[in-house]
Order: sequence, then structure tokens, then C-alpha cells
Amino acid sequence: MTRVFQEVHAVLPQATLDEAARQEFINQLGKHVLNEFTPGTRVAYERDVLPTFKREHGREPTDRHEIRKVMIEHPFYRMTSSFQRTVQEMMWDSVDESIQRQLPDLIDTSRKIAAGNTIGSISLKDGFEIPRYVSENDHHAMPGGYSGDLCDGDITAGALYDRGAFIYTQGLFGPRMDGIGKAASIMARRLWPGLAPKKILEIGCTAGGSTVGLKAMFPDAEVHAIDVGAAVLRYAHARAESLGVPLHFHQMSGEALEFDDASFDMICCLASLHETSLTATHNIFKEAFRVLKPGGRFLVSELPPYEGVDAWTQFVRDWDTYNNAEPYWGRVHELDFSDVATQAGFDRTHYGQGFGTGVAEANALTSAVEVQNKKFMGSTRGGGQAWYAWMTKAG
Amino acid sequence: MAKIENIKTPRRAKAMRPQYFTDPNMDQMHAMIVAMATEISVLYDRFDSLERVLEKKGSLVRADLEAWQADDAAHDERRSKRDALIRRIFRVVHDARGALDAS
Repeated sequence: MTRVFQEVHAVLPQATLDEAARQEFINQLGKHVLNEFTPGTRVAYERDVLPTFKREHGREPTDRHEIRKVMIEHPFYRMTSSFQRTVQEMMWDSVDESIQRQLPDLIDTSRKIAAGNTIGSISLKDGFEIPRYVSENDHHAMPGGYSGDLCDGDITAGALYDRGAFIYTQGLFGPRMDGIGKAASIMARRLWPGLAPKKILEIGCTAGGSTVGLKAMFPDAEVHAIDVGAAVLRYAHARAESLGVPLHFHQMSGEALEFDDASFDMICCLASLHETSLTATHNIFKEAFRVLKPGGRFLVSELPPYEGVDAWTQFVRDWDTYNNAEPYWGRVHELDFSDVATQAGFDRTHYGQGFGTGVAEANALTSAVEVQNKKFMGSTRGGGQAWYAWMTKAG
Repeated sequence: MAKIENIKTPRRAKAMRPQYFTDPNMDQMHAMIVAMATEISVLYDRFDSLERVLEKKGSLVRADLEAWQADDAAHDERRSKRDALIRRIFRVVHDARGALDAS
């Protein structure tokens, strides 16, 4: 097995010998649980749960909710869920602990970078109101959530996400954590040959890994990215500067973009909409439509729809809704993105959706990474393909 | 008769594990914690032996230990040892999975 190391940059939290050992163990235990324990839940369902359900109801369960109601009573399912949840908590905690130890240094480094000669920019706003769907929930059980801001100049949330997600995805996003951005760029080029955007906007960039990927694939474009948390943006800015990538970060809600009408050639929402509410998703589409130039492209990578997927698979994918602090997870799977797009002003004839370029292909890591663990975002997308919705503003 | 090199020792008693707690997961949990304590004790003993041998034979610089990084071979070796550790600590869950498969 080839190891993938996260690329070191100025604000990446470093692990001590014990912290690294803890992170490696948790990573390996997580993989063990997913590969060796979790598949047993299907057996438990077919041999124990389903026969009982059929006897009692005279039929099979019709949807994921019915399956969940009976499965949560099964000891083996309880055990595997407890494992998955515990591993997730321990993963964040192992990174959190290392950030705690070096926080003053990381903040100091980030400050010095921002105050120096920068190639990109950051704009934060005093009194910025964090949308409730972010402030009220610690998505994927990440302590402090996306908008945590502990002190003046804090970068904790960004550091926690950057390092934690690298461990969670087992390095699948690549050494620079830019795989989602690279994959989306490859997908965009396939969809729209000759695509040469001058200005790109990413909505919901977190630590800016995906944004770095977009810039790498479209080096001539001016790349902007927004998020709502000050700490993730400070981190993303320092990180990009340290890697020598010129990016422009803004504290802004995707529901109220402070950009002029018709000012961007391409807009991306990469695995970020499922962390917002349904109303927000509609508003983000409307705003994307407004700030896109006529002929501009909007590319969304998201959780694939439940439609046409059997109830058991839906139930498996829905694990995160109930166990991993992802309240919008299930609802996004049920969303008809073509409806959201047309309501926002996009023409149905300029809309498409389906599976496309995944992160493994983007990083050419398919052979290097153990892709048998394909659990990223509850589906097979981690090692294989990602699901996209794409549309063009008529004009 | 199977060849002696192909023989696998049974490792588990035939009869079902008795249930001691009201929730069967609690029985599993207890078994895991006991196994975990054992593994930690094994680790402590090994550290202790290591330090004593190093002390007797030469010197150990703690900074060297902190800075040490596993090469690929050491990394792979550790992974297999960790896998064995996981299997020992959480063997009851493997057994539960096995029982499901056999049902």
C-alpha cells in the first residue's frame, strides 16, 4: 500500500509521535469497522429483521424510514453504529488535541502571513451574522462546527477540517486536499469543451482545499471563494498563501452574494449544499443565476438522489442524517435539483445531472490509495464517481 | 485428515456466549474493555522492557524518539500489528458478524 501524506504548509497542525499514532490507529480502526463489521448489518437485516417485519406487516418495508425503525433495535446494527460514531468522535478529538497544543503558534503564523506581502486576499466583516443552519449545528460532528470562532485571529475550525477531513477520507482528496476542486474542473471541461473561465466563484469553500484545486486546473482564472465562518477563511487564506496559490476569500453568505450581476463565468458548489437548509439551497441557486454572466456555467457536486435507489441503500446512505449531525443530508438526497434550477431561472434545456469525475481519478490516486473504502459521503463516490448537477445561464 | 500446517485451532468455544447483561451490546462492551486493558498492559510491559534494555546497553535520547518516522516497511508492519490488535480487542463483534453469516 502506498501512503499518501498531507502536504505540509505553514498552518497545518503537526502531530507529536503519540498524536500521530492515535490518528493512525483511529484511521485504521475506522476502515476495519466499515469493511468488516458494517457489511454484517445487511446480513442482520435479511436474516433477522426482514423476516420479522414481513411476518408482522405482511409486506416488505417501503422506505428507509421503515427500515431504520426496525434496524435500530438490532444489537449488531447498534454496535456498528456505535463504532462508526465513536471513531468519528475520536478522529476529531485526535486532531483537536494537537491543534490545542500549538494554537498560539498557528494563529501567530496565520497573522504574519495575512499581514505580509500576499498574492491573494481575505475580507472579513465585523458583526457578520452566521446563518442558523451553520451556527446551530456541528456538521459531521466536528466540534465547534464550520463557524466556530474562538478568539481574535482564530483558525481552529479551518485546521480541524483540513487535517480531520484528510484522515476521514484516508488521503483520498490528495496531498493538497484539492481533489474535489480538481475533479469538478475535469468534469466541467468534459461537459463544456473549450471552457476558459476568467472569473470563478466557489460557494462554501471551508479550508479552501477545493478552491486550490480549481485554481490549479484553471490557472488563468481569477478565483474567488466564500464561506460564513471567519476562522475557516483565515485558515484558508493562510493555507493558500503558504502554498503559493493566489485566491480571494470573502466572508459572505451564498444566499446574499455581494457581487455584481453577471460578473462570473463559472460558479461551483462542491459538496457544500448538504450543509445548508432547503431554503438556503433555493436562494443559493437564485444568487448563482444572478451573478453568472449570460452563458456562464454553474456546477454542483452533491449527494446522489435517492430516487431509483432501493430502500436498503437509502437507509445505509441516510446513516449520517441520524448519527453524524447531518440534519439536511436526507433531504438533499430527496431534492430534485432540476426543479431548484428552473425555479432559480435556469432553463431546463440547459440543465443536466449524473455521475462524473471522482476525486480518485482527479488525483490519479486510484492505484495508490486503498479505494475499497468507498464510504465518503455515505456512498460509493469516494473512490469512484461523484454526482453532479450542471447548468448554463441562457444568453 | 488435514495436514498439520493447515490445521486451525478452534479459538472459540462451541456454545453460545452467555449473556450477563440485559443488553447484549453491554456484554460485548465489557469484553472489549477487558481486552483493551490487557493490550495496554502488554504495551506497558514492552515499553518497560525496552527502556531497561536500552538503559543497560547504551543511551536513549528522547528527542530522537519524538523525531523518528516510520519508513514504508515499518509502516506496513505496524499496520498488520494494529489489525491484529483490533481483531483481538473487538473479537466479539467479529464473532457476532460470524454468527449472523452462519444463521
